[in-house]
Amino acid sequence: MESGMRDVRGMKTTAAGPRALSAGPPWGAHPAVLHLDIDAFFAAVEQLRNPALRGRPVVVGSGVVASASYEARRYGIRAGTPLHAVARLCPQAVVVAGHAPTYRAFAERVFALAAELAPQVETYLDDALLDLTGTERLHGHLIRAAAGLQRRIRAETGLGVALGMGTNRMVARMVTRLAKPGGFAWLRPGGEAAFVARRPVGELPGIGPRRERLLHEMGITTVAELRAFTPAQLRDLFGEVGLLLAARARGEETRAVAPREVPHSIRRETSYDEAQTDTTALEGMLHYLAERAAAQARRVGVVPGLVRVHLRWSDGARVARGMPLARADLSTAALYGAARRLLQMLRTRRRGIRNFGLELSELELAGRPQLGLFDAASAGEAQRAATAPGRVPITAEARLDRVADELRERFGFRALVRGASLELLERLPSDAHGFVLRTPCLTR
Amino acid sequence: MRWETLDEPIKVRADFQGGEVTPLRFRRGPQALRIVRVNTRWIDRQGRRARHYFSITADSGDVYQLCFDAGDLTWRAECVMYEG
Repeated sequence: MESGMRDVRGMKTTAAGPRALSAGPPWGAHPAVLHLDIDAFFAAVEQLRNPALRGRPVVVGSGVVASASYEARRYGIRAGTPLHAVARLCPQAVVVAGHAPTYRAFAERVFALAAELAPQVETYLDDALLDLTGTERLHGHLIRAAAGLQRRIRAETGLGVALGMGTNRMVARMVTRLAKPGGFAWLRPGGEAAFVARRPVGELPGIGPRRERLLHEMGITTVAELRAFTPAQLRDLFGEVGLLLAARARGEETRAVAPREVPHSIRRETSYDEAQTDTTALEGMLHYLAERAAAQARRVGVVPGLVRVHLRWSDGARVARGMPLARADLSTAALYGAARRLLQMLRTRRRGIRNFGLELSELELAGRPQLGLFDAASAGEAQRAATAPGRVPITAEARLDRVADELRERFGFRALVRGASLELLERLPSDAHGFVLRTPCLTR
Repeated sequence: MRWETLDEPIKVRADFQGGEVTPLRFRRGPQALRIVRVNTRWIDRQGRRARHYFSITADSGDVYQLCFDAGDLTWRAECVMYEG
């Protein structure tokens, strides 16, 4: 791994080990953001779980590839590649359906190790941003401290991570690309504008495939060429985001690294091998997805303001519809009721459904019910406390949900299957985590 | 190659030294299996009970996933890897 370390400003590669590593002068008082990216995450976990998969092309996914090992990537397989294309590109590839709870557990361990180094850690599915600003006196040389974290993650989890360090989150992320797989690259303070200028324009955050295509049609392929535009011209071209792009093209990014207290949304979805037409089966699945989404919202401590149901028909057409929710009501029953009405409104065609799910958004931190100071407080007092201004009232359904959460925590999800979800018992396999779904994206 | 669900309660002889649990042998029905290698381990901390998972290779050559529930101190064989 250490052979991959380099100072991207000088594009210098050192083949020496960490002790002989030329880490350069201390980082000093400059902002220091470290980006950590787990290499081929899901596939790497599967290779750890099953030694027979090590060194072989492994693909994790169902319908499409969610993660491909580096052995599989040599055949042109990437995340998003349809599985039927995998069979053509690499017939010897091993396809694994994947198991999201296992990946989450590995990610949590990696992020816990990261949190021992950095006071602020912003985590995503398989990567994280660490704010190491001002910690050099605590950790010693930051480059060596980060390299130590990389070795520790490898030793304690078996996973390889690529690291990128810079003075802001954008640069750190861009630098990580140069370090994959398993390397460590950094850009010293002051080199941001020159580094970013050399990168392809599509690497700039905020430039998606559509904007990239437009810029390519205009003959702009590098960030340096994008800089020829004034901020006002970029605003005319892309709207308000154009001003942001102008700053990013100069290597500037002001957004701080901060743990996300409230997620943007909570999504749960599934897909079917054969288009589903049975209303009972669809509503059973919707109930299950609503239960999982509501349980996640309670676990994170948020209340949604909007529920949205989306579906894809058997001919590929997609529709979606949303409905506001009364924030006070956290119950699964209320959520399922709203989602069911949305599904009924959406089913306007006599066609089967290939994929559907629900999304909770406009999330806000829940007001936590005030606990009584003394356990002897009566149920009435507890209820009054819970319904005090600013508190989320505890309905009978919400109490029932809490009991269900606790039972499932203790005995596994199958310990309690209720409501329309009962319909799934005869239809789907299950494990301790719940029903085993055919989910195109393992993050949901 | 696929994981076949077992979800069976099993009896395990394990080492709890050093604050870390490591399974050594387990009995599955009439079979007594020795664990020749712990391939990887992870802890699922969703909820209040930690569940310790182990991917192990038994002396039969099979790869199993075992789970130790730290709440009620029980072991389960969750699944086994099948070739083909």
